[in-house]
Amino acid sequence: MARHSNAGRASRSSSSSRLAAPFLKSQSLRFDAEFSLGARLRCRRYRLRNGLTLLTLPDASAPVVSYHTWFRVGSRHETPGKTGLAHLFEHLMFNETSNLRAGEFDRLIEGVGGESNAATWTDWTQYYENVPASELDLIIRLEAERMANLVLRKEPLESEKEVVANERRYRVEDDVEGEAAEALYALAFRKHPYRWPTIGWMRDIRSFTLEDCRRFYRTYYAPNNAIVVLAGDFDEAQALEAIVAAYGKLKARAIPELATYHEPQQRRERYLEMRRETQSEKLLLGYRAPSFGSEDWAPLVVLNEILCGGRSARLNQLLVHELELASEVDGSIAPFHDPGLFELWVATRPGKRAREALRYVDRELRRVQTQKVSSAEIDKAVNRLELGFLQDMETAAGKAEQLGFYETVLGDAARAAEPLDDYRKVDADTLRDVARRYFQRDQRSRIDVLPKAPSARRATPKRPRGEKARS
Amino acid sequence: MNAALARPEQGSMARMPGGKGPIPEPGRSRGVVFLHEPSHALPLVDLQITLRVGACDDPLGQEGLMRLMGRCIRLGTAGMRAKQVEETIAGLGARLSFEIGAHFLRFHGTVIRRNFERFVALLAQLLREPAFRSADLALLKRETLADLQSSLDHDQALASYHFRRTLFQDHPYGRAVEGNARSLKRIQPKDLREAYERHLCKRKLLVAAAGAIDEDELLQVIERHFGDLPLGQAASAKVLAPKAPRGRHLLIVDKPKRSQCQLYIGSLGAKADDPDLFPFLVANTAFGGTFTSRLMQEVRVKRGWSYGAYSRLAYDRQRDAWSMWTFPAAKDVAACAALQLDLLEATLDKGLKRDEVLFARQFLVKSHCFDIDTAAKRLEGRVDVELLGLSAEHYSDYEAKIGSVSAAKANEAFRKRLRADDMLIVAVGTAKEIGKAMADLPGLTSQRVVAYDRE
Repeated sequence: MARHSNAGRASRSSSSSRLAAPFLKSQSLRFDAEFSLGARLRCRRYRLRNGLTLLTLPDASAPVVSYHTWFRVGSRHETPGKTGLAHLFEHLMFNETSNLRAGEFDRLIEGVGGESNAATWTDWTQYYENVPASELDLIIRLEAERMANLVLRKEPLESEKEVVANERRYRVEDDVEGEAAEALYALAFRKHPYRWPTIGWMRDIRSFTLEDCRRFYRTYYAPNNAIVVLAGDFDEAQALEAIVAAYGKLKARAIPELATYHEPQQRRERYLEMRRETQSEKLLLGYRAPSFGSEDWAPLVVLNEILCGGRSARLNQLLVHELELASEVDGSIAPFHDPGLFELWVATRPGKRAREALRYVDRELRRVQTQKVSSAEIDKAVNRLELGFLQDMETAAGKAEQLGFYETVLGDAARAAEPLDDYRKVDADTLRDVARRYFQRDQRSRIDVLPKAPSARRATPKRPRGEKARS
Repeated sequence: MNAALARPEQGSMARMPGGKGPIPEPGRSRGVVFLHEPSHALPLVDLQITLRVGACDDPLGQEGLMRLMGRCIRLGTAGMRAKQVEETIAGLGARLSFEIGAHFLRFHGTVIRRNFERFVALLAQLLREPAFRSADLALLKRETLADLQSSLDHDQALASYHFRRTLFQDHPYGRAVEGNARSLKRIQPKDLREAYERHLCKRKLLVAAAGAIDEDELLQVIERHFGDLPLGQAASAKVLAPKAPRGRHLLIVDKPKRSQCQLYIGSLGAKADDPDLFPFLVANTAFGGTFTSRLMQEVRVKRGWSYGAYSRLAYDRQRDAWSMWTFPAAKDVAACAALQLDLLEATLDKGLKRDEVLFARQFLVKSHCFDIDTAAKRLEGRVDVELLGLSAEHYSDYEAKIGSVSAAKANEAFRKRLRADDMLIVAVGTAKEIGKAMADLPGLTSQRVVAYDRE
């Protein structure tokens, strides 16, 4: 997930919100900060006494509310043999609670015209509901209920394990791109949990027990490990009152400290060849990249845009349009809490070679390492990033997602409003500098996916050595 | 977001375009029909230039012509090459896409407000002065052929393609909009030029804009760039009604080493102007349109057989497809297909219950606010209504029309079109693993296996 660009300046305020005054008196809620998101909107951050972080973004532009709950737990919190637990657990959160029968959660939300879904990645798990503005109270009650009172039983667990196994078949085992992406992270990481996929290995998915799930819930699902985001058309004072009533009595828990991992220094390029049922060769590269929000992040995002952002980008122009070597070129930087990968993906045209594509990719990367990018090209990249940011801000759901993501990964939602300022500061010297530091061949992991040929030697182990931290 | 969505989006349920309350009739300026949805919430403008001509207008034997014409327009004018076009679009902070359907082709752009004038000038120049170079056409043909071959990697797309191809047979709705190797070979630059001259006219043009743009400004755009277009002919290709298949037909698209199957089961659905379209929509929602619907509950929640399980009702000027989509493991596919057919049969025999219909109705009415929560979405709905030739009430009275559907009407609409014995079943999977079990499905009229990489 690459978060880039912005429309608005963040201006922190140290003064308490007037709207929160009654709750501040009761000491159940503490005002923490206020900042702008774009020209019109103000976001406020509060903390409940039990540690729950709350972000509010009133916006009456449409009669809807988007309600997000982010937990600071993802696949990096798992252990070998238990991979995929965070994701499986996310599925289980839609089941029975002490006060809701199985299926009632979904039925109540759909009954008011709402939609509900969730996502899990390496560092977090996110739940969201989009509902008509009049239904906010219902969502607050439902989310608080499942944060504290989930009931876990064997039969739905077994059924959900089967669903996740099918999801894995869909996203990975029958999808060449998904399988290669999974393999890349296993190739690039030796120690860090980013080496296993968020969806988990199939054998792990099948082996989870009820006790694994109960322990996971007790460990990570607590108000002090969560961030709630409300964006849309709501009365802030009423919403705060309802949230304090629903969540205020939940108990904080001791959350395990975030483990740190020392990934051994990579000394040379790592390579894996995969033979699969595919029509054309594919090339996937992963260069060591910085963590999300580091000072090199913005220059690398701009560099990615210059290389892969749209039809006019350098690699696209060269490989897809001029040389007709590729049908698709893509680039992204893993937005992870710890350093991840700068990924480049090339799907060659049938009959063309991944190795040939690599030669041209290397040439283009050398070019950004040795020659300065023009200011016009930088402006073009930043304009595209600005458009992307504005499009993210079109809906209440888009705004809530940005705020929740920044608060969860960086601990500061205000930075959701700042990236464009960072991109605008990027100059040609900085781009050349980050290109030199990050595009180093000995820091690269590379996968070639080749079509199966009857006489071809099967070069791949039964399960790919590499796996990607995404499902 | 690139993270795992635990549950599929609900986008597989086709929804009627609809608004809330009266909407303005489309405007007309210098003979050009236009739609406008203003909003100054963000400095963004969404612009759609649509021609009421699409893949159904491809001459027989030249399938893919209209798509190539549209894509060639983007490749520049006599004085501007494709690379310069793309540089300019990106430099303006804009995105431009080209889309083709059975009855329309559309250029859809989004641009940062401050660059709107320059973006629209570029788009108009592309539309008014296309070069249609032989080299560009040759390049597009090579690209299309490569894309067609690469698409064989994507099992869902493969299943969807074979489902439509087999359902509609020789009907234009069964054609691939991209054409095929034979038809592309027959298309020459003069064909693009002729098609362009025939179709770029005021009577076929629809200009639509949403976001930070005032009506006066939109009118100036039309006046400046399209005011002198020829009036032209409104009529495009007449498309006859497709025939619904009789019997239960199985097609296995054989692809090696599949761990699961992409499974489509369905038949013909509805026409946009069917008087009982709204009851059909409500019935489909109750059957397989939401997470709490019958299909999802039985296939995924109770049995864990498929990550997604949805039914989809598509509609167009003629009857489009109605289908169920699941993707079970190879070991479960035959049981899953049998279950789906049984569910459909039971639904048609005994009917949807009243509370199921009321629930679906309520879901559609209350969730409608998400179809219209941005100016771009509101515009999209209005454009659809205009292209389908529906009345403005179709859009403005959406909630009332859905809200008045009774259980009896919903069941009647479902029964009128669907029979569990008249279903096409398409499975992309490994034939040697699924073939025998699938062949045992009850009541099959025919069964066929085709290799996934052979047309």
